[in-house]
Amino acid sequence: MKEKTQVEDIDRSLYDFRFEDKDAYKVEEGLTEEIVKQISEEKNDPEWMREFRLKSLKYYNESDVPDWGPSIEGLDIDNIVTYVRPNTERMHTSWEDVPEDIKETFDRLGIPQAERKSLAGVGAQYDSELVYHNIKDDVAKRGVIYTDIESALRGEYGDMIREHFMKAVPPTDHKFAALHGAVWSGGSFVYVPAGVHLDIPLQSYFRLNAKGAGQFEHTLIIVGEGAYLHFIEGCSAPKYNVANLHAGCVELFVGKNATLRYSTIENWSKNMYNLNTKRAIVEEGGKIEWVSGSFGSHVSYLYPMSVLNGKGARAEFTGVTFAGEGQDLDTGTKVVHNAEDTSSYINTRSISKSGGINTFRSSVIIGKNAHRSKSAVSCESLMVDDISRSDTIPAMDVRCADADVGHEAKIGRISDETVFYLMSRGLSEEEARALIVRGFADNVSKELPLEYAVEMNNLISLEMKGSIG
Amino acid sequence: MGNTKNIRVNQLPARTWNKLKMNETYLDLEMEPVQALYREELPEGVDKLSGKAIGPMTDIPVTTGLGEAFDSVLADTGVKPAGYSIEDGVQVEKPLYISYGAEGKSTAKDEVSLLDFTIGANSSLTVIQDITDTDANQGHTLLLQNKYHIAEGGSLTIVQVNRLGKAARLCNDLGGYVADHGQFKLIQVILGGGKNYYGSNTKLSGKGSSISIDVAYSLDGEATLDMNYVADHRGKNTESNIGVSGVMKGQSKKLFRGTIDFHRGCAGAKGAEIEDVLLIDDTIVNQTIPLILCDEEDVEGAHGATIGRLDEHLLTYMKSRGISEKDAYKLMEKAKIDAVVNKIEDDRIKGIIREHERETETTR
Repeated sequence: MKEKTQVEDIDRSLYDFRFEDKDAYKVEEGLTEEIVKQISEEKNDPEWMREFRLKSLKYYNESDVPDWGPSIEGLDIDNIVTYVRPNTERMHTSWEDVPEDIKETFDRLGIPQAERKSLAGVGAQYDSELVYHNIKDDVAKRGVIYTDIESALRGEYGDMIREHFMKAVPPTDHKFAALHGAVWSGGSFVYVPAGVHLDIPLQSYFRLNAKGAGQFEHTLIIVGEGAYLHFIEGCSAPKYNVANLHAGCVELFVGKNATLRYSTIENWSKNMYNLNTKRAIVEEGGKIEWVSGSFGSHVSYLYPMSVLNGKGARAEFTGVTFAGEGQDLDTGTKVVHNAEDTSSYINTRSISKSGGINTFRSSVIIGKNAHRSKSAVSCESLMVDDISRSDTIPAMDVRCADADVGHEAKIGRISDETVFYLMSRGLSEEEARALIVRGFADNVSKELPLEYAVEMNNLISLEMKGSIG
Repeated sequence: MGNTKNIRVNQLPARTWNKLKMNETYLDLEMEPVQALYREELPEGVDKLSGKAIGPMTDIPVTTGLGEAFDSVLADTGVKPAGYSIEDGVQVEKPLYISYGAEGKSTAKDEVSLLDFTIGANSSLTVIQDITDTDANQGHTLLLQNKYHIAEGGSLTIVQVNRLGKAARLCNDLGGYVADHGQFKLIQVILGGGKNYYGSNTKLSGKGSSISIDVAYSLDGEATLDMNYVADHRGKNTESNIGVSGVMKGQSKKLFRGTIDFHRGCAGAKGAEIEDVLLIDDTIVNQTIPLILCDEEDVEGAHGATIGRLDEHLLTYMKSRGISEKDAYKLMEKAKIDAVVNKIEDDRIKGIIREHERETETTR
């Protein structure tokens, strides 16, 4: 009997391991004012931050769950532990000082090795706290600041943090931004001074180990005038049979004529609700480049947003999403053109298989003052089998006559003609189909540094097996 | 207005961010409207029965573009539908002409017209609805609803031309289903009306059934156009094409919702939607949300949108031929409308459109 062609799910064995969190400190499950105050005390917050958390909690309690995305009925905040401090007293700058089980976790994920080979600095977060942060001396000497956000908040950059913290993503933005404002913990602060061009990237890696916990890290990056930075974010978690929650927040401030490339490979386990918010504010002549790979989580709401506030500011978004069995991934992007001569380019691919659901959702807003602005959106979706689903929901709002907005979208399956052509060139049908699927996602992997492109290809692990049925 | 109700219309089949204000539209409707007067030219081969819809197929429930709340309000008005039907195997040569506002009577009341078309197997009919008003300055609401039931191999074409005055409000609602190898064609030319709400939902139930929608609009002043078109693919090898093209000037506002919905089991289906908008003034508000919902592997869906000013190369070429920028825009505006008008096979309504365009041009 013939076996049907199968595209395998992502191989998760690399990420699906865990250690007991027996020595960790945790708050109670749920979300109350007492828990928020406890976290604030634990973090030694300045008074303004304590007030900020409590206000955010109020917004959270007053706002509604979204009525437009995938169901999050399986997520009960009363069952989520919002703060878990690993069994280490402080953040370390040497891997040798990191507790053995945590160090082994990051070793297995290849983080120290990547740091030695190709990174200018690394931050590693385990549950709610940074456990390791380091930056190369020559990079630090050029004035680049890369540290955990709590140290920065209490140190000489406190005013800078206060000036920018949750200004791009206010807690009033939506329910899970408010949740983040109330219980955030960990994350990185990066400041690249004007004119500094970092040739090699910085990377933060977020690992959520504790069962039934939430991770709420805050990433704040300020890139000064004419500077350049490539920042890489990675995340993963072992799989549990209860819901975990990730509601991080990324705020990026791109100065005049500066460029920031922000690359992410999201690979949460399939019990994770990933309700993350990312936003960049771009000044005159500045550029934000998002490269986003979404592979994990049970449910995702993820739409990195670019606000183009300065004349000639630009945004590029390149994304790939792979939804397999049990996954409902709602991803896309938002762009707001607020100034003259701004431009945006959005290019996404999504693959649905084994009953996975993909939704591409976008909005492009061209404001009244955005004269001569341009936007182009291209999204393509591939259905690998007949039990999966793929939707595209792109919105455009244009309020300026001399704008130029283009949009195109395609949904379909692997073309028989293409398979036939490849077979005529000597490939088997299996090989032909595998090649097409890999090529479909290649648009994104080629935007990543080589090491991460290899990781992404490993992640996808699009194996074709069996004969054709 | 005394007895009014606020209802939700043109609901997007899949919701998105509420902040965009594209998920639906709310409008107030008077609850005691009267039967709209219209002149009708009934060609040979068409049976008419006033007071109820005709044919066994009308038992199949129909969803309309404006939606359930609108449908419910119309049912509550007590206005009876007029049913038109053609037997199996009848090709009706002449179009069924229906002209609103042509009776010379005027009323300030909201008016309702409910029409129901049943097309027999392997039959065909063209319906032309010329929508105007007796007094262009009189503010009133016209509530139109067409439902259609197209049997195997049947074909129905509906042409609607909106020449209402700027004070008028039009709710234009369509919904129906198409059986095996049946065809539904909808051509809408929107040249008037102050506030326009257009919706269409066609269920492609039968294998090989198809729908094509062509819409052209010219919006000026403070005119608004709120649209919701749904092609609901259920049968195998079904096909849909939605094309919307228009020009926006002044403080006009437009919201286009277009959905191609591939249900599981519609293997071999194809759907495409294209929108092309020419923007003239900075005071316009142009919103677009073209959806593809896909629950079936073996389909092809595509949509594209082009929004903005005239292409610079085209403009340069036209200027090089001695055409001013202003005239170039006028030409392109006319071209966008004509591209759709030329798809109408009836010369009489084409003539009416041309005349309306000339009159509008001279009063500018």
